[in-house]
Amino acid sequence: MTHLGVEYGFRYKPPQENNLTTPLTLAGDVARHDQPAGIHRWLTSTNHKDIGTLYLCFSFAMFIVGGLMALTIRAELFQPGMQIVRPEFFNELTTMHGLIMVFGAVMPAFVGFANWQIPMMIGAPDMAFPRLNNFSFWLLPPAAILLVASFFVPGGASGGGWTFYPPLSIEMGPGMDMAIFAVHLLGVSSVIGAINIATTILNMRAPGMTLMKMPLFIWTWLITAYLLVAVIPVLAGSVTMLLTDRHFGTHFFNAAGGGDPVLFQHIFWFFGHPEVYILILPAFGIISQIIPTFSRKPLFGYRSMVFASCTIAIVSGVVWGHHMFAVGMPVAGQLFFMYATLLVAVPTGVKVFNWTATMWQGSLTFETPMLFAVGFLFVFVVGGLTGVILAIAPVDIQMQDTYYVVAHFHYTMVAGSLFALFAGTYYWLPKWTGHMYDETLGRWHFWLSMISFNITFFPMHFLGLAGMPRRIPDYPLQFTDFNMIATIGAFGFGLTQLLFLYTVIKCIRSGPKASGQVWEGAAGLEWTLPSPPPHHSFETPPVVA
Amino acid sequence: MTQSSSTHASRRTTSLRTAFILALVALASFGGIILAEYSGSQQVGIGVLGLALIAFLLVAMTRPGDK
Repeated sequence: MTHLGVEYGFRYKPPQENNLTTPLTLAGDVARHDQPAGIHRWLTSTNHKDIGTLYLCFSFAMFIVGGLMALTIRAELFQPGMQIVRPEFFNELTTMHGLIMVFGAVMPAFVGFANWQIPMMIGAPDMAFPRLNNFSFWLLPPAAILLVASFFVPGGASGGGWTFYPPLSIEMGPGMDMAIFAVHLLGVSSVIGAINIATTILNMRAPGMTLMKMPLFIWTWLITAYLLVAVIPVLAGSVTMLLTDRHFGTHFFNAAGGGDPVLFQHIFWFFGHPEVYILILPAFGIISQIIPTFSRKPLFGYRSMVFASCTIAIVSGVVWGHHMFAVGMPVAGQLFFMYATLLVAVPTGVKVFNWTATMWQGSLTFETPMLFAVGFLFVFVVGGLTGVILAIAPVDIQMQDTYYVVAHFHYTMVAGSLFALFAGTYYWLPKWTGHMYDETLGRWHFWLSMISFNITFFPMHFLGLAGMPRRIPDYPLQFTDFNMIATIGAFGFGLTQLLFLYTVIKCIRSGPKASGQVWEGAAGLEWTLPSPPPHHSFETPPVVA
Repeated sequence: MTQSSSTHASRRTTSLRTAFILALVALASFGGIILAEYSGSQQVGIGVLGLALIAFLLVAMTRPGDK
């Protein structure tokens, strides 16, 4: 068993070897825990795997909803002129697409991964607070219903952008209130989930698993959990003030009453920029698990990866002003935020270097998880480089609110977070289901996603450089060709995800039996469990030597 | 009480303490940002930030040592 811990410099001892009399609980003993069946199981489950599955299903449903909104946006933009929707509805779609994708899709997906993987990777039986875990999930569906239902109230859904900027957000109809309440619910869910995750990681690790022996995925989630606890309440506070401005006569952000709308932007982006790293740090963790497995080598520079993750999180708290260069700020402020933002490239560069160095002279194979991991590296670097360009204040002032920014953040968020989510799904799906997925379909999914993603978003760089503003339903004729290409790519990307859904369902229902180890080069405690894992991952803690 | 159940109880207490402090950080951030804007005082904002930092340090200090 010694190879299992090689990556992190520890040796896993199974219970027998440690003179512990209770063996690992094996699959098939579900009944012993009196687990309810059917719908009752899913409503009341406190099991980390069930809740992880619920999170993943919920997030995929939200991906479909947010994706359909994106496709409607792209269909409208296929040609200049108004084709399909009213301009107001277009604004509502862009706003809801952003809110749903950030809060309803990507964040819950990573929490789903955390629920499934953290107890298995640290040698714990479950999360620290299983009932709280159930509660934090069940806050999500009401929030999603609020967001979607807001389309049907007078005045429609919130159309002021996912950033809730006043004065627009102060003046909108009840759809804005519903969005604010939805953000409150999503925020409470995130904070409770983050507290649960941080507590689990800090207190439930197997004996011998010191902090510096934790897998990178665990490290990145611990840092993400701290970020969530620190910044989500700031967002909740800012939208609460917005709510009191709207209904209770306060003037925090209302210029007519002496308030300051720019102040809202500062507070929002104090949350908003760390949020970007909340969405990408767990992705880094997933990639850091996958690349060593398929390179059959330990991760290069484990310690520097940990410190790079911490540095990214710390620096993320002092760079919010780069979202506001065009709003106006003193030159000293611009210089500070510009250099602080450029600084983020250093730890990020360390990570990219280490992933590349891990692959260097490795015994590489390119199964679907590795394809998505390498694809992630390629597209994330493109997104990172355009981020460096946008960090430069004079450039940003030109590019502000153009499609260049849209291209940049979709390269980091879609290709970054989403490709890592796909990679992680294919990587751990055999462990979760006990079946191997269809490798041919997986590869088709990767190549079609990679090609259609780039067809969609690469032309947006040129549109932005040519000056096409974002959040508009109509545009001058000169932008037509690139918009047509982007729309065709977007529909291709959307359809490709149906292939992903089919592949996952097929894997759940059937497929060759997966071994416990699953991947030849995989290292870590989760691979010592059978596939699928038992109801409680480790009833007797393994000892990590 | 067996050794295993006492370990379980002690782990539960530690987990509750960690969760309580983290919840305190979240509440301080939420209430603090509103209070800072309501009072218009920079000292309140800095105080809230300091409180959150101290609470994070408390989490670090009160968690069980590396096993």
